[in-house]
Amino acid sequence: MEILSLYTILVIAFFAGLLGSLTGLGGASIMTPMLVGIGFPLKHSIANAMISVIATSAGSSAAYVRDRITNPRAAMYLEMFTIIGGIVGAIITLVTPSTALYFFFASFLITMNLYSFYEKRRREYHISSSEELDRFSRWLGIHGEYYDQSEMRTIRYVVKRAHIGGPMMIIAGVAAGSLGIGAGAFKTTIQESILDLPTKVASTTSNFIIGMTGLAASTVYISSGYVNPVIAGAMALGTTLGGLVGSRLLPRISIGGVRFLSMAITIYVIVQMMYKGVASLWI
Amino acid sequence: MDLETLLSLILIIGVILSLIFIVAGLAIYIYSEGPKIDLGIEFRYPNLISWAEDVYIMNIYQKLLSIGLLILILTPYIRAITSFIWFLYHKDTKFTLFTLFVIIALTFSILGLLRVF
Repeated sequence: MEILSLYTILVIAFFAGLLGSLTGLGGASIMTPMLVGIGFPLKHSIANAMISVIATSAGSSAAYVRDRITNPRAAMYLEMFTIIGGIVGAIITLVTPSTALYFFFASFLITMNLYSFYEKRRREYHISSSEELDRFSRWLGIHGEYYDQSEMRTIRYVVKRAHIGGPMMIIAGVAAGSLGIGAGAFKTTIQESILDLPTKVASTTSNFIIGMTGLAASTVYISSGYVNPVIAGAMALGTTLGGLVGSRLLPRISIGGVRFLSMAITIYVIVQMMYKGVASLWI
Repeated sequence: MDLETLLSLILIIGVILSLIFIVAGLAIYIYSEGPKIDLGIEFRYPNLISWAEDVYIMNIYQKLLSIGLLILILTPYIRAITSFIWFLYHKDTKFTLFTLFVIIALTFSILGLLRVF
């Protein structure tokens, strides 16, 4: 069986956490393609990365929860759906051949980017805040407010279309659980475009939810024998440290630089997974 | 103490505590086994309880890594239980039921009752 260096895993996890934090893509979605690039088996990478997702989620969301930017009530409603998706996703991975998973990984990233781009453009021209609040969302009562430091004012918001947004989170959970990633950007887009949450609340609430999805999916992987404590520990440590350094570096990097980095990494991840998928067809 | 402060504390304590155990476990692993990892060695536990029970018979680095990872994995679970108690105490029936659903699903998952393969 393959022998790998712990140092290699630590370095890759650190850089994946760093780049994931800078670009908002998340450490695990960069780490898995990097690891399979050096010959790490895909399912092992997905399973062990799922645990590192819990660490980065807990580490990065604690401050936002304390500062009341995260909406814990909205998170608790949405978690009911993502944990179901996470468990289903992990089971799908166990029964799916690795070749299909490579293509699924690449396809998910392509779809997520196109969807995010479309929603961003749509929201630029269509502000739906005048739309009437539906009965279910009113009953749920997960509206909130937060203090925006950049705008130096308190922003109040209401949550809309919760009856659609909740079930949509099952899809996000399936993607996260099956690919061993947080799928944070996808969750954020759903919360922004369907639930009408402000961007900062959506991204921090999404970050908060990711840990719960990670727990649900990782238990399935542990029972399947894919989780190795040494590898999972190294990945969790590396991505958390990388994420911390990334959050310190982020204010010093221009928006243009972040966009370029994000685009370059997304293309790398998609190409790498497509290449591995095609290559595995010939083995 | 409000819910946000409580949840934030749980998350930060959980992640720091788990990383301390993980760092110690990895350091001892490198010292005793070297930096190589054999992917052929399989750790298969039907559920988190049996993993926790096995900690007693593990060697020192496995013990430390397992404790660190179990703390990390269970941090969101503890946050769900805390939220449930908080909503129950504040008589918020709706969110008490939501968090109860999450706890039940996670308990099934932790006990390995959703294991099909």
